[in-house]
Amino acid sequence: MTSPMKRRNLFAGALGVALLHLASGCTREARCKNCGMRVDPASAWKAELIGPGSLLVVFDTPRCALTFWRTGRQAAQALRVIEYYDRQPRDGAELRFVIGGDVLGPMGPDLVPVDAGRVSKFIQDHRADRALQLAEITSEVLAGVGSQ
Amino acid sequence: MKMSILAFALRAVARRKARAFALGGGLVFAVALLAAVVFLTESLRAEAERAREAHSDIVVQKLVGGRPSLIRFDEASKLQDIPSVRAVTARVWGYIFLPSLQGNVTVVGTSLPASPLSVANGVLAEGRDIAQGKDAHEMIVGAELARFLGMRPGDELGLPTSNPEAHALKLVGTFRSSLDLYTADVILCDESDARALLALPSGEATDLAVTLSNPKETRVVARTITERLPGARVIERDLLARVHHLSYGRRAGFVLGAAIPAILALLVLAWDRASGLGPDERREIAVLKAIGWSTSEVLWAKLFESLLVGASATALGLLLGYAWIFWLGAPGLRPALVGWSVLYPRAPLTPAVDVAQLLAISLSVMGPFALLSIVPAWRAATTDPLETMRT
Repeated sequence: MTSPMKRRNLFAGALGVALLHLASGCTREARCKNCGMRVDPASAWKAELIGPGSLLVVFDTPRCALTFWRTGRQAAQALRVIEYYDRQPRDGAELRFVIGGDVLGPMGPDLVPVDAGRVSKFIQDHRADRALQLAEITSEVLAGVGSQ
Repeated sequence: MKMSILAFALRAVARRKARAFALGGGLVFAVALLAAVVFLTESLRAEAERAREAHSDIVVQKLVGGRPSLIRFDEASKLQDIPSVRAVTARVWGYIFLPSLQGNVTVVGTSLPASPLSVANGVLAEGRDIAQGKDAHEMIVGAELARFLGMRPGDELGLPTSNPEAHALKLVGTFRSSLDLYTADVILCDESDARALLALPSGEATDLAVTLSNPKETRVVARTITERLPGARVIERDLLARVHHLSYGRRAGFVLGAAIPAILALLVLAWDRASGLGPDERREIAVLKAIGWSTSEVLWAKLFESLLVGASATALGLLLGYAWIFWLGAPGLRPALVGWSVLYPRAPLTPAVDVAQLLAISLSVMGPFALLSIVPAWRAATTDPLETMRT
């Protein structure tokens, strides 16, 4: 008499555990593919590589995204970053990436995505070194940023 | 075993009611005074923090002869193209003294596209929002201010003004805000009405509010504004918050400093009573030892006794401090800590209690109190019971 009831309870328990596991999987926070840090969805430093078939890979900083891309670990068609001044997501090819200066990313010195028209103001205000276009950023340049 | 010692301690306190009241009374007053200052300071700091969130990132005022003056609307256009600047709003607001309240109210003009309620961080408590337009002559006021003025939606109010063209305003609703101060002194009306009431010429504003897309650029933007508008006063939100924080902390320090002699006198009195054992108590300890209690059991009994008195007094002191500040409105303390209370209508204080500070107050009073009462008990418990009973 009690055996089918026990089985039903056991089944309900197992179902509950499975659902909880599924729910925790759904809410699992995104991690940077390059350094493993948690990616804050509201972060102004978040960067995304757009791969083949519109595949999105999320990184915590532009430097991580570019390192991952330039070292050949991810084939990508474009890089989407958040512009420093207006905090809007933009195509990396439209922007300049500024190196040096007093603006630090969450992992230290980084490449700051700035609109081309505001680069000189940024360099002046933040005593930055230089600004590069996306195509000019190589793995050697990235190694230099990391060692600053 | 500990429970029976606790029961014994409880009965001992009941036997010596007068002593317990004398000890507890001093502690209650000392704790109430300390707690009241802490409660009031925390409440004001929390209010300042909420105000900081409601503030614009940067406010620009024009100075003439070192005093804030009106600023021209078109000055806003000089700031629009600074990187990181999302919006520059010319604000029309000012103070009007209400003799009936013996205080100032703040008249704030609102214009499209901003919703009037959003200007005061508010939600509608009663009635409706104002209809924006030159001929509406409507207003909504903070719920507390409406209560002070004894007004209900539908009533009209003619505010004192030097401009004969200013209209009486019809109250169409009241609002509540995350900022207590706003609900106690703000009147929201159409910009044209505010301009008439405050006698502000057209084309001029009280100040410019700058909203940034990247708040980390505040310092750089503020510097750029100073370069473009020489002589302007640029107020950054974070600096304002720091000033509030420091000023409340400093005032609380002054009040506590002034109260230290009184608190010390009360504590010394309480500790003096707690640390001296009367002949009856000494005899009681001797009897306990004679019937087989160990020294540690006697000490536990005395510790429980002090803790019972100390904990009750501390709890009562905290409750009195809370009631003084949040139920009675902090009479006596408020003028010392709140700089603007003399000019503004009295806003109710929102409780903001820091548990760590409550613990610190409780422990700093109860800890020494319990320890000091243990020492004489230990001395009495370690002497020969027969000798004590003979003396």
